[in-house]
Amino acid sequence: MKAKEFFIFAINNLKARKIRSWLTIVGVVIGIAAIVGLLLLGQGLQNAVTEQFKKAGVDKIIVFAGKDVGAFYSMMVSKKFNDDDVKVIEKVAGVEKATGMIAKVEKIEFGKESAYTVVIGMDKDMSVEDFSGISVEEGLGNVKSDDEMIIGYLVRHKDLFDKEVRIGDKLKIRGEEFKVVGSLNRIGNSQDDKQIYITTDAAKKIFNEYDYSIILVKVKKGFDVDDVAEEIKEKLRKHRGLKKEEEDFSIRTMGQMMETFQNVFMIIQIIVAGIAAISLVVGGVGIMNTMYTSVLERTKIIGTMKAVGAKEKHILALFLIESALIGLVGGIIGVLLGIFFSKLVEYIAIGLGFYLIKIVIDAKIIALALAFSFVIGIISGFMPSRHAAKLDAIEALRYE
Amino acid sequence: MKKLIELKRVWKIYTLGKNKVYALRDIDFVLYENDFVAIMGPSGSGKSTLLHLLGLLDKPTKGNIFFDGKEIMALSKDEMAEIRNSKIGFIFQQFNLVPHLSALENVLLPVLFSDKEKSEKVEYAKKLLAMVGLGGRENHKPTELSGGEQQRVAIARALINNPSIILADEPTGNLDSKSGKQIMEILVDLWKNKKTIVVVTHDPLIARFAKRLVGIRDGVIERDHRFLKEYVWSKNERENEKN
Repeated sequence: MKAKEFFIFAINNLKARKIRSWLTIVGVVIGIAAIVGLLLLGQGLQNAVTEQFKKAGVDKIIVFAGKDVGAFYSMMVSKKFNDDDVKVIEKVAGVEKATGMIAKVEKIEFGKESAYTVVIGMDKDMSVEDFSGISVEEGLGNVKSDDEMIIGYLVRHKDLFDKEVRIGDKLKIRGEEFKVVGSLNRIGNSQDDKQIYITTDAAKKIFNEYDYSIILVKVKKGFDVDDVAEEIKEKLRKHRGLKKEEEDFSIRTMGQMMETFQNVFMIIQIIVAGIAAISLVVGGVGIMNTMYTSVLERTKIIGTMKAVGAKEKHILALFLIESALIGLVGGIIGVLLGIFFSKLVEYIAIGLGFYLIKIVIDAKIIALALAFSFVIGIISGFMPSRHAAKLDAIEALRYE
Repeated sequence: MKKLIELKRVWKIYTLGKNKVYALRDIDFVLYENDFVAIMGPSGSGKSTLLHLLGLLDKPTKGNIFFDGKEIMALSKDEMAEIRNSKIGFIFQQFNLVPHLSALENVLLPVLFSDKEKSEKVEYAKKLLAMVGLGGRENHKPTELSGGEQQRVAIARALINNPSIILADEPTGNLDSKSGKQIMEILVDLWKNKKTIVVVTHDPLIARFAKRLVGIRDGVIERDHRFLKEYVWSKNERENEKN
């Protein structure tokens, strides 16, 4: 097999210039490691967040008080929702359940300790898992009585408080005592894991607030979420006496939110990978430089090879194999380093209590990075290799 | 005698800026099968140019060259490379070995550009190295060999594809006279084994190993004659060799 002989010859040539070959490879390694590492991290973040969206349920519609201003809803709340609005929504065909949500950051007292966290008032008939997608670790899944609460993972496990909170313990909000009836599993982001859930009525009472800024809607099985969302928009607009396109509320399905998030994320990833790719261009210039030097050094040998019968395509192949190998070896090491780097960031993040990165080794990214490094090798090596192939045999033989 | 290479009214003109350099002027020359030619002449006389044309490394500016009866002006670069690979062996003044390859690998270099597999030729390469007196030193790198030994590796390399013609450009120019004599004796043996040999040299003692002497000056062949007697080194020359 001639190809094998050419490969061995090229590898020997690279080995003969070990330090220079490795230094050139390092140039490629840095670029590929940066691209792979950043893409894997980006994807890891995206995976984790998408997973949370999915856990929260794609059969959910969220109605926000405030005008729709494009990708994200406006935080300028003009007019909140009341129980009538909730009833209107509940009557829409396909709606299984609608629940107004009160959320407030509040001081929580546990024995002698106190800490601030988000308290959510939610419907008695709705389980927390149904509502937020977070599963139960111990105890009950929904709050049935106005003096009970369900606590997030970090509330229980010595994060919010120094002491572990047990089922049956009592926590105080604005002086009112609540009995812990259930605790939740970890979902990964510390904000969600620190939440406390009580009933809507209890929340109304202690916060002295009767309006909702968010209504959460669960769609019945067999109904199209987007159609139901459209219908809710129509009915709610009429109920609030508003003209079309002048709604003071906005509606998002979980699917839409997921899509928006993913689009934004894709753009960020492309930009980040693009910046990393610049370093790969530098690596490519390094390959070109090394190859030109090595053609110059081996001018006499090239002349000799031509004298003993090498054709232009033989010389071209020998040098191209060398530069492609530099690219590919750089790519392989770069991919390994990139994986290592992203895994390291994942572990550090977990160590810091940030669970929103789940690195999944994506074969597509790896294959792409390897192909890219190979192509960089070929492209950067092409001009020097062609220069070598076109050398005049007699002049090359005379070269000192 | 069969004509191997025939030059008819060959000119080689190089253009250096505005100047034209006439390396060869209207040369007629025939290389016969199993010839042993020494081409002599001062530097710049055109002897290397003549060797390059004989070796199909270049084409003439004017005139015709026939290789085995084939007109070479009509050949492509690749076709010329194929002929060089299979029918011509080159030996250079500076040996031109690949420094990081072993003696054996260097001998096998031309096989890389042929249609033969390297593995088929390994045994033959070892045989050739043994023939030039380097048996057992197959794995030595050029830097571990003396000049004379390196040139012997180069001879084995020239022979690997079993060519009919060996072209040597000052093969002893970088060697002491003893090593030079050894190299020439190998070439004489090859000639006895029906190879055609052309040696370019400016050393008359080296030229004396050949059977035919071609003198060249200013791009013109001045003389072309055959030695009538087998050359015997004089006592003086033997003394010189010892020193």
